[in-house]
Amino acid sequence: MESALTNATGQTNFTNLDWGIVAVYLLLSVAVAFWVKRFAGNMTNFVGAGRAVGTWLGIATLTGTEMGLITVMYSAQKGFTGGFAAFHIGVIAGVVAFLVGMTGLIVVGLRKHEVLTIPEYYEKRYGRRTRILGGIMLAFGGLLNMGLFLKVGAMFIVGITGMNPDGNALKLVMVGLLALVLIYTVIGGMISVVITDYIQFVVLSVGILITGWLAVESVGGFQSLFDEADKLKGREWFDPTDAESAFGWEYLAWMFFLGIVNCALWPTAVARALAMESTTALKRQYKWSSISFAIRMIIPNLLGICAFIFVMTKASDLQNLFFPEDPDAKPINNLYAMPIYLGRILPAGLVGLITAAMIAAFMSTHDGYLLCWSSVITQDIIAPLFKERLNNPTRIKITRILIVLIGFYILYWGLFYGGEEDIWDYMAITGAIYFTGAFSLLFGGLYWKRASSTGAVLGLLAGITAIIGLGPVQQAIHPYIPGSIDGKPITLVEDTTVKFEEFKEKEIPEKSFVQYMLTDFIMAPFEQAKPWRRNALEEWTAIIRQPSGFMQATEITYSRDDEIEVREWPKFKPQTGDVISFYKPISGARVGLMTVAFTMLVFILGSIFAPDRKSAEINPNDSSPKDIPPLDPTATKTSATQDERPMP
Amino acid sequence: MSEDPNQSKKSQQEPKTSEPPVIDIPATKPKRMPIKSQTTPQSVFNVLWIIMQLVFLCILGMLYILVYLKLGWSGVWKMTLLGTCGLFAVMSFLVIIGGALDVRKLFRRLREQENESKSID
Repeated sequence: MESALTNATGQTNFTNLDWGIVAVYLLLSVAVAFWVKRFAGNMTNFVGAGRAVGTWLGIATLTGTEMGLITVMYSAQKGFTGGFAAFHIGVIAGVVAFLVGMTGLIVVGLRKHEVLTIPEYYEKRYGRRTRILGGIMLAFGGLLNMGLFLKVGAMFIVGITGMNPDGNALKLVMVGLLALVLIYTVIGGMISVVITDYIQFVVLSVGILITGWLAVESVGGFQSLFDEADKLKGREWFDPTDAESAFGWEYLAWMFFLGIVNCALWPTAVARALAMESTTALKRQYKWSSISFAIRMIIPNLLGICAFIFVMTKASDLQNLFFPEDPDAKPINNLYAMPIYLGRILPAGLVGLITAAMIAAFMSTHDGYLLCWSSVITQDIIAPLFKERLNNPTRIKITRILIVLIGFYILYWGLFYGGEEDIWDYMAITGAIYFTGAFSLLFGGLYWKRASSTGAVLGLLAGITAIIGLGPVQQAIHPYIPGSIDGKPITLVEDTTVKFEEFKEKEIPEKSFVQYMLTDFIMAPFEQAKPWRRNALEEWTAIIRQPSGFMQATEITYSRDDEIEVREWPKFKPQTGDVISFYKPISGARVGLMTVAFTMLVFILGSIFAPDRKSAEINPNDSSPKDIPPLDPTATKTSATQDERPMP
Repeated sequence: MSEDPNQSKKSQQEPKTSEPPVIDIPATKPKRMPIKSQTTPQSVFNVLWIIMQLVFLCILGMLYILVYLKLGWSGVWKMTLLGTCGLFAVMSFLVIIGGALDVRKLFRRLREQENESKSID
């Protein structure tokens, strides 16, 4: 299967001319970083581009950061698996961004307080300990979130250029990309980020529209695209509310919340907002960027859909790779589908330009993220711990060292992490560790006078529960998931079928109306199976544990009262005497929504029952942040003056 | 008849009785009552602008519902695809032009800041 993948990637139109285009583009990016180096003298310039970014440049840089290669890859993956129904993610994201631009929800309040990072606002509103804890949570969630970026980006380049994925090409590309990003982020800071974002916007906006058009043409035109999709997949590929689709109402609700997060809470987007010259420019930036927020999902979805139709109708070799007929063959990672497809349909020259644009997209996302997380650790964890005694050159030096360290961490994570989650779900859940708490703190802090620092700390800590959404974590704690079924000893194993002591039907005791209501309310998110019924455990996960403690998880395809059939044994074939237990995996969307509600509840209760002695009243419409009494007046004052101090 | 030196000049220049008496007006200007502004407050325009945008969103939503009723999900996604691509093309054109001007402005400001910090040193 691996050599078949090498053959598949080898049939690309990528030529030496395309390599030349890519090289020229990358050299240009590094040259820009060196050129703007002299302006990155103080922390405000290094992290916030001197707060002098105009509206149009702001739109370009917001789009440049948010339309990264990782977004293109996971959106294409969603299109490949979910079809046109996946368009709803982009539509919701666009509408929410427009609403945020219209109302100024959260972002205008933050901009008026003239903070550089979100935890800096936490300090102004809730005190120093909240800032440090907020910074830790932000860095933890954010670093986990970007852990797979490098690998996914490298997969794109390997797929489209026709390199050999079986060898060391993937690792070498990862190292090369990382080195490139580190060089110009460390040197230029936010100013180089803003300028390269603009160049990227120019190349990518033109390139992606042409690519979209060529992709539609490759499957026979606009009408044919929809007809073929209908023929191959039917309603489930069009209706996002359909239970058979990859989405559903719960997923839609989760996407709405993620829409708010993406534009109003996610630090990389907020960093762009805080770099704007005025709140009017900021609002305008968001309204215009709402188109980018939609298109950054929709066109890659379209590329994924076209790739699927191309694979199913015009490329039998690829069909055998992604959907093998042999039940023993393992399909290859569908993240490769879009780059291999583009390598085949785009002509030489254009494929180089698109690759350059995608590498630019990759770099602009990475530089933004590296700068964001490193500055959060410097400004919000290290500097407050030193009681703001760090001067500007030291801060910039620490930030630069952190950029390099984070770079090595993502290289390590990309090379060695073995999780098999869907990329989008992985990102949503890891991000939720930070943003569920941040939503409560920012929303409450800006619009609720009684929000207290105790509530804030509790809210931030409650956000950690989002980690339950990750597959390996659910496997580890499955005995505690409501509705899970305790271990039973295995009595016989035949191929992929396992027999065990049979389940007996339980008599459900009579309950009062109140008991029913309470039980139903608490247990609503968890499935209560009746395993004695045929196929009641279908799509559940079986955990097999050996006496030595070694365990594996696998998906159940069929069940009866005394046996189950599984898809495969990923690690080992079980033996008689091993113990098998069962649980229904909780979707990332459900865990995310539950965490949002839980965090809000904890924050509100904490604020009500443990109010601050003298709550800091902050009016988000007040444009004079100097008048706001911080809980620790010395801290903010010192940080504000140090931020502005020029480098000697 | 000698002139009384204490006699004021004013009385000497007393107007004829047929003329109306001249009243001595103090030098300070009279206090004017503050004139109520006739212009509509900015907040009203802001609210109107928000309402307009909401109406725009509602119309868009209704259009989507109509298309859904007529053509189903396929029609909705066709409209989404064409609409967003068209808007993105227009926006790209504007951002490329406007962004170039903003880049120039950004560098001008940064150069000014650099010069200021040099002069302070």
